[in-house]
Amino acid sequence: MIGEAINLFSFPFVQRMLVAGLLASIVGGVIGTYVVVNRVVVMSGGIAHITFGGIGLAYLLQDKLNWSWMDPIIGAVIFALGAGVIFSSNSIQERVRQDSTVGVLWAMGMALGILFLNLVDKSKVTVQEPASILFGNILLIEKLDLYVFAGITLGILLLVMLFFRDLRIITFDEEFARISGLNADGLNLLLFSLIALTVVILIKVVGVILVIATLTIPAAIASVFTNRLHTTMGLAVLVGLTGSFLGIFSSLLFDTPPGPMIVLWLGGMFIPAFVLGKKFV
Amino acid sequence: MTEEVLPIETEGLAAGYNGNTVITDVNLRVESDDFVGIIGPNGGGKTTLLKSVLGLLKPIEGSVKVFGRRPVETRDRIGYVPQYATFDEEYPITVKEVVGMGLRREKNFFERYSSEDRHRTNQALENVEMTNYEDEPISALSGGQKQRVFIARALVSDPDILLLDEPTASVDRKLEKGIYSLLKELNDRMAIVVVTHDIGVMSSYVTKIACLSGELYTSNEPYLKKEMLEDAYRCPVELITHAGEEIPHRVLGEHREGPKEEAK
Repeated sequence: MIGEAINLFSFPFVQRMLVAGLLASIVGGVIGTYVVVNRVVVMSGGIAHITFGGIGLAYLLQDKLNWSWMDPIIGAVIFALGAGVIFSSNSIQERVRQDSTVGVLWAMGMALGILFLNLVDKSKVTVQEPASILFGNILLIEKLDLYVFAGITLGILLLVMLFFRDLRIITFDEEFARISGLNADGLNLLLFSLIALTVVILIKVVGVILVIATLTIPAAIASVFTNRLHTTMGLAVLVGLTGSFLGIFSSLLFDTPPGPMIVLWLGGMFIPAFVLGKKFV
Repeated sequence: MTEEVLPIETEGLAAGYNGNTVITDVNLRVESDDFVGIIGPNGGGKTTLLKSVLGLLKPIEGSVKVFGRRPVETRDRIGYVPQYATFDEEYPITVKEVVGMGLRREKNFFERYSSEDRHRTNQALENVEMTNYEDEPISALSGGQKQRVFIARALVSDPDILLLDEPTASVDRKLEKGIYSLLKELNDRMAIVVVTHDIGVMSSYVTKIACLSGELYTSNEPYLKKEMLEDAYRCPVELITHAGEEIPHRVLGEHREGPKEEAK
């Protein structure tokens, strides 16, 4: 049985899954570290759910306006970035409590997604099952998706490297960043855009609902073992890779969906990390 | 003859949030060798005044000048030490990295600190006697040590003014003295402004004291008489004692909160 599962690794669809898992682990670990240390887990969850509306809208536009080029990923990117802009906006935060904004948009995104998908003429446009959007289907990843993801991953890594110190200042002490003359609003927008793009990649791998696990768990585990930002990122990537590989492998072994398996492996590592980890810090 | 340019000078300053004025007609003059203590009740506008001087808040009326210019133009000459309680204690960052933030030169991941940056960081850590802790995570430090690190971060850019917001709010009386004597040393090279609601041992170290309660009441002496405080300054005082030392020790009571109108 294990031998069969290993044999599956020669299949292109399995290899695509592994590459997707690799890219997701890299961005999930690096950007997830910011999400965890800056305590914006809930906002990131909001961004993930809001993208559901964008995916629905993309299908609807394919149908009603015959925009066959309107890939769901474009809709997801637009909605995720829009949510990022709103969540990082100071002027909105001054008027509405931030987590209320998250609650409103989170539900609106889901509602729009369900509505839009319902309005699409399924005989005309092939629509992904809502369940596979929500829970992810790494099996459906195509070669083109991987090129797009690889491009986004490289872009994210480059931006993090260029703005590493600035992002550290803004996430550690925003007021100090402003006093130092840093463009704090711009950096917040950058951070939320990076989170938004990461969410889009992760959605394809584990789905809307489970994004928050891959964004949170690796960084949370890593943060138990180190007190440096960049080592947290590095460890989080390793944890993510381990979880992705074990998740994909066990899903092949037991013929179960990979998304939930990845999340369960990560969650399983979280518990011993906290029980054992604190002793070695 | 050139007129002396004051480190901080506000004229008829009114400031607040969303159009609501918190402080009015504040005339503050800080000279380059001053150690100014600004006391006042919570809600008296201490933070509002600090934010105005730091350029985070635009004046509603009047002006704020830092070395004769707008605060945003002179950012590199002010070192600011916030209340440490506002930080995330669990943030994965070392003492050295926190101090390095004060260098204010934008650097990315690839660039290393120059030898001058290293020198400045070491110097700042030495100033606050935290050299041995440079690689410690910030989460491992005590309240007083954290405060010293944030002072070092403010010192690393070699400022001419040091602003501190409640520098001893989170430390005990013994450490409080340590922090003030450190500030006293630093006062040889820079003007120091401390804002606090708890006068504590501060009065033994300052050269000027002012009371902020909507308006600013200043005294060019390092002490305030009980009557002055209560009648003119609206900062209720319970007791002023002289402990028989060279420096008079003053014990001020808790400030009572009062309606803003009364403070005028």
